[in-house]
Amino acid sequence: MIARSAKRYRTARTIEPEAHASAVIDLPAMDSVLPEALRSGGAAHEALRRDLAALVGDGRASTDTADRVAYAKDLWPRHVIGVRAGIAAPAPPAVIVWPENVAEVAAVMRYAHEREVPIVPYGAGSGVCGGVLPTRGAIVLDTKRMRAVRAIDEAQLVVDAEAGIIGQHLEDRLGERGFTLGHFPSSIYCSTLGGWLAGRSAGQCSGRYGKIEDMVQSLTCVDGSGEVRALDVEASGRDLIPLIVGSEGTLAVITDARLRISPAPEVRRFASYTFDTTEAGLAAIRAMLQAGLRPAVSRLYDPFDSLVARRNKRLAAPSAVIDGPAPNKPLQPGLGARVLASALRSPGVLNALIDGLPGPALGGAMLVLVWEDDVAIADAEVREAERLCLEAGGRSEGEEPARRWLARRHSVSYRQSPMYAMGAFVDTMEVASTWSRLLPMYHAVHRALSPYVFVMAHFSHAYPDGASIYFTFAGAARDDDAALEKYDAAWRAALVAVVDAGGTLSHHHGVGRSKAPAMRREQGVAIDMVRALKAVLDPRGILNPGALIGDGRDAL
Amino acid sequence: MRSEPLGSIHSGLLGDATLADRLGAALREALGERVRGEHDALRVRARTPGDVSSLFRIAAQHGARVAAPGGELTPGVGVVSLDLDALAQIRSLDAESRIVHVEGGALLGGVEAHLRAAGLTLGVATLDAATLDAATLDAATGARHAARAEARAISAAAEARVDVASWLARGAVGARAHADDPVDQLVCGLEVVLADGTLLTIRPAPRRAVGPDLRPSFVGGRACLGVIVGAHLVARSVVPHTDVVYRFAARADAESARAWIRGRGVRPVSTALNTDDGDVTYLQVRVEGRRAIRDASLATVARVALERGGRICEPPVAPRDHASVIAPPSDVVRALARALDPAGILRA
Repeated sequence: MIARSAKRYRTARTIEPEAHASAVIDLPAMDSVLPEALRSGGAAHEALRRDLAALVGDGRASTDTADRVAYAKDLWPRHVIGVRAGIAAPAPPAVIVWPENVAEVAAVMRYAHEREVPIVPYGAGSGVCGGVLPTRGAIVLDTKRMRAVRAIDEAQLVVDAEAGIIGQHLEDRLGERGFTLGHFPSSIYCSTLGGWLAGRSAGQCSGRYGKIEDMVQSLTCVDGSGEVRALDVEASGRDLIPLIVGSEGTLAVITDARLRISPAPEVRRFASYTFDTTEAGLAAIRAMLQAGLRPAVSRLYDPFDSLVARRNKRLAAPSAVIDGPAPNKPLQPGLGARVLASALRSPGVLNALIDGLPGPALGGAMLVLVWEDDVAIADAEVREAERLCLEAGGRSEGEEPARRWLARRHSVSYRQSPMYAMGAFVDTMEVASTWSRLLPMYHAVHRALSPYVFVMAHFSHAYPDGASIYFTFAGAARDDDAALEKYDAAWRAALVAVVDAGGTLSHHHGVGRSKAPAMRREQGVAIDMVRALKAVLDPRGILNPGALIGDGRDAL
Repeated sequence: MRSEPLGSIHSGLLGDATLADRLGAALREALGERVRGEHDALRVRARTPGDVSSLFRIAAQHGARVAAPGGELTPGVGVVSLDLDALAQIRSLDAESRIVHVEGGALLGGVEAHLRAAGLTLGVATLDAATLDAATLDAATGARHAARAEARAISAAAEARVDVASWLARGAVGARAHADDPVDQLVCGLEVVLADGTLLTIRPAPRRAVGPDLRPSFVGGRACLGVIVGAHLVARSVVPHTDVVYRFAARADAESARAWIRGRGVRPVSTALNTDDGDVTYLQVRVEGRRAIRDASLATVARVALERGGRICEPPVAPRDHASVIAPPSDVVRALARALDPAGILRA
């Protein structure tokens, strides 16, 4: 149920850490007009802010209400529904702090450890699983002032960078020298290196460069007691980095990392194929990966998702999609949007209608392939891929669909606001499994979601032993309370279906709070091992409480 | 059953027949004929993960420790030996995913033979038939190489008799380096009996983002947290391969060449660096696949190597050594082991 007491408070302030020294707000005056949930803790919060400012410098600790609201959440769609309902910040933190180096992070951590104050590491806040949801009274530690690219070793092909750097900025710096990290999540403009590492992120070119955990060579982090740990495969054991990477800020705060890089590719090559069925398309991808081919991108869209992709071709030029809606264009739903929102309230009918059509009637399942390699390797793989795709029953669509995909590759994340504006909700779920379990899992999740939301999917990260499925679903309800109820029911059903079909809950978005209830269902006693690990690295349990391993109360 | 103080039992077990008898009796009561030996030479031949759990629980209750496959402890006073040779089935081969599910006691050579019959391989360099072939080539180039080749052949034969649990616990020596192909992986799932007797299962998945990756705590973990009783291993096709070797005047140049070969998109089956007497460093690269792919990869390898002063060796006979020393478990994993295994049954 949405807490009405906090309704209708909204803020549109954009956070600029550098501006804090001059951003003074009269807290007592503002508090008098705020809902109770957003009011500051008065003297207690101010004392906390003063203490932290003494550790990191004046102007880099804030109890500003706008800051506390902005840092109270990430982009978990459940938060977005809440915001639409007027819940700007269900449990705002007490204070936000912006350290500039590992020593300051350690000082803040020791302070929090000694006083048992919860502390939530924060990158760019673009996670979609509720990885950031500070408990009331928590310290939010924003890493974005640690954003230097310290060194690029051109001989050994590694980069040393601080964790708070925005992904695109890191890629730009590498690009200036003729290199690439090869990590291109659709959030690249609004996510940080530290966030990628904390969540085991995957980029769109993972088939060529691997996921972020495949790139990291060493890292520095500060654990929950304030100890600085420099982790290196050779020096500290190869077991430790994989324990910190993916821990979602529950074990330590990552402050910098050394990552493998690649020279910018000589060429990009493109190919696209259509298959009558999703099954045939998957067989082609599997054959390629198991034959040792490594296309940077291999994305197979199920027939309906393919139809949407083809329709987009006629809607807009690629540049228009990349740029998103014009800045001053209001997100007002038109008649078509209202009709769509209405249709989404009966998703079972929509899903049954689509499912009842044979794949070819929708145009078939579309596969886009992109290579980033030396010319000789790329050309040889393109020829071999063509042989395998044709063998699997594919029909060549030429380069254009793959080129169009590349041009629009980051746009999808910026296209969801209109759906929320029309009263609907949209979310995605990325899961993974071995090849033999993949299609059964696809069908099981589809069935589980269908009563609640309209669902489509694509397969976007492939390996010799399996692949990831990326479900996109949309729903609507009569009001926001009903929307939340439907949203939660859809997720519960889908998570159970994934685990029961033998899959893993997340391929690259992480767990946060959205998937934590199903963790024990998948992980079993491994959860206890992670808890034991947390007791070693964060003995007072102050780091990002509630994320990843949850509290077990809402276990599925 | 009452728990005895750990230190006194470890030091006194040999001379304390009562304690040893009590431990042996408890084990026999739970595990029957799977328990062999007496007093300081107790041995448990586990048939199921449940047997391993029982052993661990009884050992903890009696203050004894367990010498596990691939672990740091050796049989002796107060240390029960765990054998997995009766827990050695190849449970299944998922041909579509190319994943073989094996029990911990299965011999590496047996698993490889099973896969070869299906046209697949684990690609473990230390088991590689080509390693033995190389002995012939090495022998042709002189006694120095011949001696090394003979040692490798013996090593390969021994490796085939190693069980999967030991091989993984010691770091899977000879497996493809992850950096050579970040998309590939060897171990996609595990079953481990932890020191407290619970069974931890990591289900097979190509990749995941569900918290810390626990697999490296066991693969290379020297069994300090638990014993691997099952593994899902990823195999690949047996296809033609080509080896090339370049020699460099300085190791840094060879290291840079390897980084750039990988960076340029070559996905070698294996790469090996070996610095010979003096500063000369050999870089061996093996590529596999259809001819066109191999030729394209080899062209890139040649270009990168020559740009860094590398000179090709004909025939490719440079030493092909693989790291045999794996970094020990980290301090954090050891702390975790202390937390999970306060009785210290699996720790040296």
